[in-house]
Amino acid sequence: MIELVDVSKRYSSGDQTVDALSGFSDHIEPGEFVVITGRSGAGKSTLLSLVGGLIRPDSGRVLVQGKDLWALNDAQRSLLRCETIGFVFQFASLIPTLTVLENVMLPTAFLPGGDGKGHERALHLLERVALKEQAVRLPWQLSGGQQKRVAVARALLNQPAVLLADEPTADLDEATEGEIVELFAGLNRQGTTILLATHNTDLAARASRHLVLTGGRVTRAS
Amino acid sequence: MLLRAGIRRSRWRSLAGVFVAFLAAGAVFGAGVLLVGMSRVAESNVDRLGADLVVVPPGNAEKVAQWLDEGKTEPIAASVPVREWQRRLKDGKVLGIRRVDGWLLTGGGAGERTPETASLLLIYLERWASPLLAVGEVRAALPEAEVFTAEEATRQVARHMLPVVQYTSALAGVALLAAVLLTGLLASIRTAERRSELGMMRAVGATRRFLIGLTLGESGLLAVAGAVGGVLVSGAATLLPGSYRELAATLSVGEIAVAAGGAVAGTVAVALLATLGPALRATTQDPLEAIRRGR
Repeated sequence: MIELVDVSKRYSSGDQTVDALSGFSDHIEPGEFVVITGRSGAGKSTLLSLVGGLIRPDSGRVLVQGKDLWALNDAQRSLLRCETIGFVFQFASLIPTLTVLENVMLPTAFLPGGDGKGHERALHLLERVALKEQAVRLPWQLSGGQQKRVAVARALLNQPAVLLADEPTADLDEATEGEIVELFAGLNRQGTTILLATHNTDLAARASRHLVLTGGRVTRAS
Repeated sequence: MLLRAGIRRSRWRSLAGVFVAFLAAGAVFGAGVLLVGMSRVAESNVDRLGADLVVVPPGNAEKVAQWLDEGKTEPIAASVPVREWQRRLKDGKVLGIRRVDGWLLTGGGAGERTPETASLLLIYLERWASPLLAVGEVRAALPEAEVFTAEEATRQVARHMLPVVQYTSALAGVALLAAVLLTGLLASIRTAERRSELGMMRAVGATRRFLIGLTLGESGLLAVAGAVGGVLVSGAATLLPGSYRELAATLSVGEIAVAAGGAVAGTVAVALLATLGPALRATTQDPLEAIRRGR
């Protein structure tokens, strides 16, 4: 499903360089639920960005469903991302001038020729995250937890095989955090591969695998 | 949907973008009409009369320039003895003169022909005669007068109009420069405040080309709206009584349409160029970093 082969990524700022990821290799099977923990700057977000094809590794290869992401051009990579990978971010990043429903339907705007079933699927997903009644509201009218659930629905619109979540439960209260994590667990039970980056080590208990990153390297795996 | 959403995202900045394009296009269109109109008037007054040389009593060159400039003037005293100057030109054997007319401007305005005492003389040459050669002979025959060829008269008018032309050209240039700077600044601000959104769109499947097109599309749409408004208001001003209306009247409907189209196209092109930098920057940022920082 996902393969990382000796991947490294370095960031430079002025005369300072930081190795965000060093010689990282891993193989993620379809249907796995992998939780990645580590302190700030350990390389968690970098790892997700690399798997999602958002940034290019300085060395090594990233393969998703057998395709080398950086052997593809930008349009091909974007299409792969749109059809195969769903992203959930730390902040919901909803477009404030679009309704909840329009926000969920956003990924259909990036499919060539559009997708005639986007509206139907979006409503179904909003029902699944218990927000169907809020479909015509604007994001500012929802709570933080509700906005996060809209973002999850958006990530699932194109029925991705892989879900990448970067600190999805940060800034949420315990109850809402539990709802979101249960949502992810339910998706994983249905076969979605999940990579979840978080500071919260308690979430590792829900995962099939737990990776701990320190200074861009795996220091513990279970 | 996304174009609308982007424009509504920061209403005041979108309005500012429209206003900048409104001013730029209005200034460029107005300046264009003024400049073409002024050159048409300058030519037409001499060409309309068909004269090759203009003979002016000393001290009236400025008023005559105004007459050539605007087609009308303040009253110019009649001090030219038409028949005597006609005789002196004949005696001076000036080659190629077809006709000499006295022109009376004591009432101001456009004036009228007179055989008696005139404000100035208009000399018409044969087709084969050279105004440049004739002017020397006329100056020799009438040393107390100032003599201009039609071309010199046009240059005289151009010198007279030069401050206006410079001022108008500078105004149009400043308007366009301001449009570039302000549009670029507004695009940078709007792109920066949407960093998180643009990063999110990139992450869910938008290509670089899509995001660049989206950013340029927003700027282009605002520029078109503003530019069309600016040209319409500037065009409506040509209907108000005054010099601007008279100058605009020298252009045909087709020419005004071309000027309007050019002003709109130029303003939109400037807006798109100014937006290109911020648009390219928006697509090269790390999306996850942009989402984090944009919060």
